[in-house]
Amino acid sequence: MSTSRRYAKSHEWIRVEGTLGTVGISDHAQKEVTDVVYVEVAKTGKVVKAGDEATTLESVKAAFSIYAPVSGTITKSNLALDGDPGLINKSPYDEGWIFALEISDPAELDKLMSEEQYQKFLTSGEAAAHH
Amino acid sequence: MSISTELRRSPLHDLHVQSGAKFIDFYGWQLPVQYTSIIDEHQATRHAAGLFDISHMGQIVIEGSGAFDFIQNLITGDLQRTLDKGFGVYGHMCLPTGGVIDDIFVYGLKEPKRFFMVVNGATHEKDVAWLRQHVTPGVTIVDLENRAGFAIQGPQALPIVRATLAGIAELPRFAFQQIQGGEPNDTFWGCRTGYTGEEGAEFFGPARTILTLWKQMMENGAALGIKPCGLGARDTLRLEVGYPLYGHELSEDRTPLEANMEWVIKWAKGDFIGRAALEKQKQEGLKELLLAYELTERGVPRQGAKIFKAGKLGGETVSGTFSPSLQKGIGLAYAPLSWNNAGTDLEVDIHNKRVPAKVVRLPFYKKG
Repeated sequence: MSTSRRYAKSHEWIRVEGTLGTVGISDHAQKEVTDVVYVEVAKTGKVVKAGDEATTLESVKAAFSIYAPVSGTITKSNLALDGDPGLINKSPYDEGWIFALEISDPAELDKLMSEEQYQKFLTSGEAAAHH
Repeated sequence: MSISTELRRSPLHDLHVQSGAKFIDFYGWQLPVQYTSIIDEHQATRHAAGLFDISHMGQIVIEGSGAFDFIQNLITGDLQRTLDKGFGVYGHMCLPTGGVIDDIFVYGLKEPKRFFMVVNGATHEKDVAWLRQHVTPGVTIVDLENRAGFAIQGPQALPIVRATLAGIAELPRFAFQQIQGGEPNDTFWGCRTGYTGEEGAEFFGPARTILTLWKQMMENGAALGIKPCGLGARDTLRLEVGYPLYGHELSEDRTPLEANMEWVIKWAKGDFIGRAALEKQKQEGLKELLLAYELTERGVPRQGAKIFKAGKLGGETVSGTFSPSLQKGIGLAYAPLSWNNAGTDLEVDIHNKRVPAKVVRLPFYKKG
């Protein structure tokens, strides 16, 4: 279970290499969201603050906002999701990544949860309030 | 989460938990919304077979010498058809205003006069109160308890039914049978009906017998690709074929005429509650009519999405979803009668963006 992913309370994960962060939604979140049918392409060059809506996705069930877990500038979107949005359900941590951003304040990463903390958060009952 | 302990559970609940179901609160019931994926379950029903727990639906027996006239007076359908042909009768129970209290199925037997009514879970209590309020001498109403029900739907549904039970699969569509069997001395109903646009059957009966039947269907269907399906797939399937859902297309504020369902009104049958108002509305003409639209660009319309024509607001979506079969957004909306021509250009407000759409004829999805 040990990974370098860090999690926001709104169920996005971020994986960091250097100053670049890759963002997706957790396995728990994809199950809650159900089958994803559309993902809005996050705008490259868009500047976001931690907690800002970076993009949206639509599932059969409802529309969901995807928030930036940390502040930065969006550099890339996963264009494979355009043809196969179900990748978010099939492979939430890998092929189903949603966008990448250049992190402007690496200190914000410390405010996010580790894998272990996130798993605890999920069983705490608090998690349901953050969908 | 403490509220979930107060939700009603289906007699099949433990089976759903074992199958990994994800549950939602549906009008006071805790029911599976999906087991694996709404789209997978949708496709299983379109291409193999889906099994749906419908134990939340109300099951009511109406008996006695006055039962026929009593029911005939409460529904838009013609009950004679169930006696003459052995078909289930679909109809609306209307208020004197013509507004719809519920949409229901009634199945009936001649001797002794005994009718079996299946009503929506969401309106069950209201329906029973309405029935009791209008009860006439010589009529007994029994709101059955400890009941369950399921639907099996899809191109493989009837082969699976045939492998499990004799008779039902050989009946024509909409026909039914009262069956002695299952657990000792149990009686249950098998009906060639459904809510998906696919072939299939529905079974209603005592919980223990329905539980056994569900397990047998799962076993006999395993090699044919049967899947248990949740309310998520039930909704996308019914919407693709344009079937109404009470609380969306149908409500006390809309008549069967406005819902574009005049076919449920059997004008030749005689009087029934709501008839006068419906006749009047038909004479005067409709202002609004249920309209079906498809998005021509990507997006998923949801209930409440506003509808525009040439920039003018005029309608509101009552049901909307992503159609797994058509791979596009579809919706039903109440809108001015004059908008309801196939091909008419519309715009649907989705997250404050106007997404282009076109009026289409129902069903959205046609087999083959």
